[in-house]
Amino acid sequence: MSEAREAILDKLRKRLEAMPEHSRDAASVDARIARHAANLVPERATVSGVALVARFEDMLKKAAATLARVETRDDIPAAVADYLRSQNLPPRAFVAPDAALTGLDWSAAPTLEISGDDPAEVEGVTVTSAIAGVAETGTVVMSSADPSRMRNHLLAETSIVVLSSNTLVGAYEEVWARLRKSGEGFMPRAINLITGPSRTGDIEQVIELGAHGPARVHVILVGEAPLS
Amino acid sequence: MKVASRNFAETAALALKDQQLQKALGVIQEGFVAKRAEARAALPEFDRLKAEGKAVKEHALAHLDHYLERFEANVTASGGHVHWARDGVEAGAIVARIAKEAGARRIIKGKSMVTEEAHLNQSLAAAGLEAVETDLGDYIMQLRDEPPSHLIMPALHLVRGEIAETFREHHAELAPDRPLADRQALIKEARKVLRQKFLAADLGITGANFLVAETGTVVLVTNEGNGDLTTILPKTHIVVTGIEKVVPTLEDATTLIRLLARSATGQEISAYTSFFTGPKRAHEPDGPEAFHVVLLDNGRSDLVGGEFHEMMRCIRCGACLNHCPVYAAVGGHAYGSVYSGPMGAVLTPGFAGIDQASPLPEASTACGRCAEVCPVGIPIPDLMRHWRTRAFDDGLGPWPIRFGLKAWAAMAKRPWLYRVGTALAARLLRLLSKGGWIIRLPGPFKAWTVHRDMAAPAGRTFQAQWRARGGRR
Repeated sequence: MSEAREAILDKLRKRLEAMPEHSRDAASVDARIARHAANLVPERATVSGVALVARFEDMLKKAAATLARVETRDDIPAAVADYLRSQNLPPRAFVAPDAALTGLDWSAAPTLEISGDDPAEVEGVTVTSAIAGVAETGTVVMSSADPSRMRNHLLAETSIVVLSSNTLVGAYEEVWARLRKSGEGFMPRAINLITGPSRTGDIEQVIELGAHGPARVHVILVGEAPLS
Repeated sequence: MKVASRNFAETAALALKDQQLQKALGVIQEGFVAKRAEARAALPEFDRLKAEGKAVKEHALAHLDHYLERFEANVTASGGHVHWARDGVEAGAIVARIAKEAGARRIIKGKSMVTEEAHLNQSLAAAGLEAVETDLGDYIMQLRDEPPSHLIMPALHLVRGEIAETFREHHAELAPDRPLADRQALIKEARKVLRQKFLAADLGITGANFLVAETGTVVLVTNEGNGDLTTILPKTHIVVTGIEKVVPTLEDATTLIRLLARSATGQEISAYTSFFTGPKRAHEPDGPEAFHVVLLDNGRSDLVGGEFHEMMRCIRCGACLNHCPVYAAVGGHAYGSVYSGPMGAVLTPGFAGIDQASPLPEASTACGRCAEVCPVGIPIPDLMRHWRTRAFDDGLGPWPIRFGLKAWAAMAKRPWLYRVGTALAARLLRLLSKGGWIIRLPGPFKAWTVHRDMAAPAGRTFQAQWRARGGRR
């Protein structure tokens, strides 16, 4: 179909030549990409420290998710058990095959199954990790390069997401800046920004939670507020 | 693009009499309109973001050829494939070929207006392939064999009883007496039925909201999570999208993301905003083994650089539909095109030809709300007027209107005739009035006074009064 490619690009070039804004200077367009300058970042996304955590929690709740804070990673199993009790859910959960989660001492907490390769098995409650949190909209970020797997989050009815407070940022742009540090080809197969539970307004324009993804999203935020 | 827009007058009249439809449409004001206003109020920078979003799209479109080439190069560098389609038939052939080569039998789809525009499901069916829609609204539409009636709420025209009937008819394997009276029951049933489709699928097709030239990334925005499941579980992921969606950088896409959900549903951001770059890498646990992007032209390159260039900024949020008094009265199906409302009235003639859609640019009160709420500042009423001019030049439209316009033009071009004509009309109208108001106009003008009264003219024309007061010419 390279014939179609040439036909489309040729037509575009002919039509664009008539436009005053169109420059044939490829270097300036590439320079704009290379700069990848941020556009306007809303003021609400430019907080730090305690205010950053407060904004994250506030926005996350507005998106119909819930949040619990714990001091250390050792507190995660008890926090999971507490949450399941509070929702009257059976003490059973799938944990993503992520050593940082499966390596915790779960003896005091729910019956756990490690999520395997069969997505049909995953339902009910899952525990995964996010690579970052964005305070601007109470968003958690997952990456396909991370062992947690987005599908473990999506296939569950109830999704518990573990997030380190030192990965919290104010604006989406800070996520891009962090990813860019790994150099050429810095984007993994998928970066997922997740904001609250799955929802649909497709029936009578009334928002109902729990469409194809989780109906409940609970974030366990680990650690103190980041300093800057 | 196949459309049935020439009969808009008839389809609109039917829609106005459809009580179920009127009930469903009645919710738009308190739903979308109020929520967008709240979201805008909650973000003080919203109007400045609009200006930036517009500038980003303007820049990207002015260098569209260049950014498309960069996008293609970066998709390829990350292990994906880019295909180019001049029209919907070519896009269908490309997707069918990829599906056959992958040996795919079970195809699932995420929400995509471009595949509706390209009639992709029909192309696949002709090739012996069936694709199941997974967005709840689209799924309902597929079961009912109807086109979507709104950009982002395909089943907006239905009430829940109608959806329950559809499910009972098509989910025959489930207990016939199951309760389906509330929305949650309907949603749970669709989730259960479609979950099996997700798990069995070997090919997933989605659209795209933005393409990022810098990284070769496809950005997809959804609320249900179906889009992401479509891209994670099957072995092959095909994106079908329009060539106008490319922006330079992740930062540019981010600016538009801040505008999209707020304008569309009044959310701060949609539940899922995902960035797909290539297939899964060797060390990654999840994702498809093959990643394809089909770039569709289908008339877009004809609009670029011309009178309708600004329409190419459209990010398909649906705000113009939600705020349009005509859309609110007749719904999406009356437009006879997958793109309805104000944006559809500009795009449909562009994609299908003005001869196929000349009534749509007329379906406007010229109130200007669409332009006011557009997150990328598209002057939609101006563009609709350009189409009206073209329709007139091409000899389209009903003869009484064409005759009337010609008569008016003849009068407006001859000052003496204009003076005499308006003086006569003012006197005639004065005769028809009672107490300063005309409550019934005669003959073909009767419709004007069915629902409203008309203020009576002052008796003498402006020009006459101006002269009488000694005004200078």
